[in-house]
Amino acid sequence: MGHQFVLLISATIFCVGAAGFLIRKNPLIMFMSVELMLNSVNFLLIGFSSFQKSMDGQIFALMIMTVAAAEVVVGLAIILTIFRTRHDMDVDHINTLKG
Amino acid sequence: MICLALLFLLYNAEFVAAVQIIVYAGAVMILFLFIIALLGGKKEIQEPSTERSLAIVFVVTMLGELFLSATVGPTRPVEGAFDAQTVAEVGGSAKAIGLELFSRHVVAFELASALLLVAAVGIICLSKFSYVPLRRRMK
Repeated sequence: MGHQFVLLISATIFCVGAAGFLIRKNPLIMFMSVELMLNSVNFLLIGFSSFQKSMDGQIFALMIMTVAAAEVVVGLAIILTIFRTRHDMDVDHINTLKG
Repeated sequence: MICLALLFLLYNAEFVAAVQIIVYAGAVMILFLFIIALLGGKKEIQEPSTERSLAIVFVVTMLGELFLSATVGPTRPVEGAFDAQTVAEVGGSAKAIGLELFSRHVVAFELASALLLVAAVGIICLSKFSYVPLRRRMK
């Protein structure tokens, strides 16, 4: 379980998240992909905090989790509001700022 | 997400693993489930386009690049103060994190709590005030 294991797993999860974000059109799935990317970075931070024998990585991971939770709440509310006004779930159709 | 929490456990981060399970499995996924149940799943139409293939090429390139940078090149370990033994002496991962969080990272902690408060207030505003103009528009 060396550095490379952490790096490879994290890179794989991040790329899965990036692919999901870029390819899918459902905003919910895109949001889950963003969560996946944040989680991969969390894993990287925790792995390296274990390797470097420091607590800073874990604190960083906790902060990222806080930000992710806030972001999920706000983003889901925005998605809900958009769906309420438009009854449409395709991000390509949302191209105007005027509601 | 739970698998990731198990991986956290592997790297002596018991507290963060517990937080991961509580926050993600307990809160975020339930929120997603609620929204999906509210909006209903719909099959999305996937037609091939240049943007899609560009995105796939981009992601595959990024994956290759990350793998390359992960496997090639030396990594130099930097030794900090917290190895598994000292953490165990302090009295577990949670206590070590607490000591660190409330001594050296107090400002970040307070900022995070302020951020959560702002998010909560914002959600209340969004859900409260978005009804009225909507009804007016529908008439």
